[in-house]
Amino acid sequence: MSDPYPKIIVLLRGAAHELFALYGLSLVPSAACALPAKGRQVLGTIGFGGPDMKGALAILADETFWRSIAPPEQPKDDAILADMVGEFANMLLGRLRNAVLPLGAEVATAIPSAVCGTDLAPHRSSVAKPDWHMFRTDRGPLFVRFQVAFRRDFRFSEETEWSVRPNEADLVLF
Amino acid sequence: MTKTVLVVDDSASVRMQVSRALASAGFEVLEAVDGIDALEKLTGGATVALVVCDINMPRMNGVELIESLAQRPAPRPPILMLTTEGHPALIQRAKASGARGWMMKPLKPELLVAAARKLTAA
Repeated sequence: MSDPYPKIIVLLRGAAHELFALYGLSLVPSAACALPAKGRQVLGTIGFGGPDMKGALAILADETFWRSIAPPEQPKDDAILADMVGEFANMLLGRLRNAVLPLGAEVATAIPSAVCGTDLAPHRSSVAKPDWHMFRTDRGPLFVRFQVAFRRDFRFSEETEWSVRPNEADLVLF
Repeated sequence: MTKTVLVVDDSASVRMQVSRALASAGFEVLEAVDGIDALEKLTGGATVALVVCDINMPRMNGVELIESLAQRPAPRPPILMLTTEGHPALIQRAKASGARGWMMKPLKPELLVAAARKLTAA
């Protein structure tokens, strides 16, 4: 039986690709991950939990990155920008949650939060698995931190069929 | 006659995008920050033709809101869920309580407007 960690990282990367493609961004995973040390950044975080896995996801990029994908009519204040980045964390985790559900893992997600500020990148853990993932884009790098602890002996199951797959349909009217 | 849509989401940026899309299509828009706020607006006399509702919100989530609305006497406004959630059991639970549609975030304004027009058609 295989370790679920590599599988969920593949799913995370796929979810990030899909989400940001909807905003016209092509994400290229980078083997190296140099966290931004300086400058104005926005960090969004969201936690999750369930019987099989628990953890947290964070997304971080320069303020200019986020402003480049904000709706043009959106006010320029920090509170709205932080709210938008929190929503990106929510949407990314939501896609991941919907991807692991057919594989037998149910998770509930918390309410996201976010902050605008300077030098926001948290320090890397020196003992845990590398949990920051860097994506290059034409608007600058995007960083995703994914921390997860699986239930002991948890393994993803074979994908099951669902009668409704809203991710694929976008809109379902009953 | 202009139709009013109640937009329920704890994210200010999402409310802004949804409201802008609906207003540009000719709808009047009311906003609520969570299920409790939405219930207060609806019981306070607001007449709405459609509720567009998130799921994951503090105080009262979207499913709790529609289950609460289902207890109210008819006529009840149609409800369109706009969410990142995709659990089939949650979709069925919302549908059983009267939800008429399910949209996945991120918002696609043209899809939202099409759904709003369809669900508010007399």
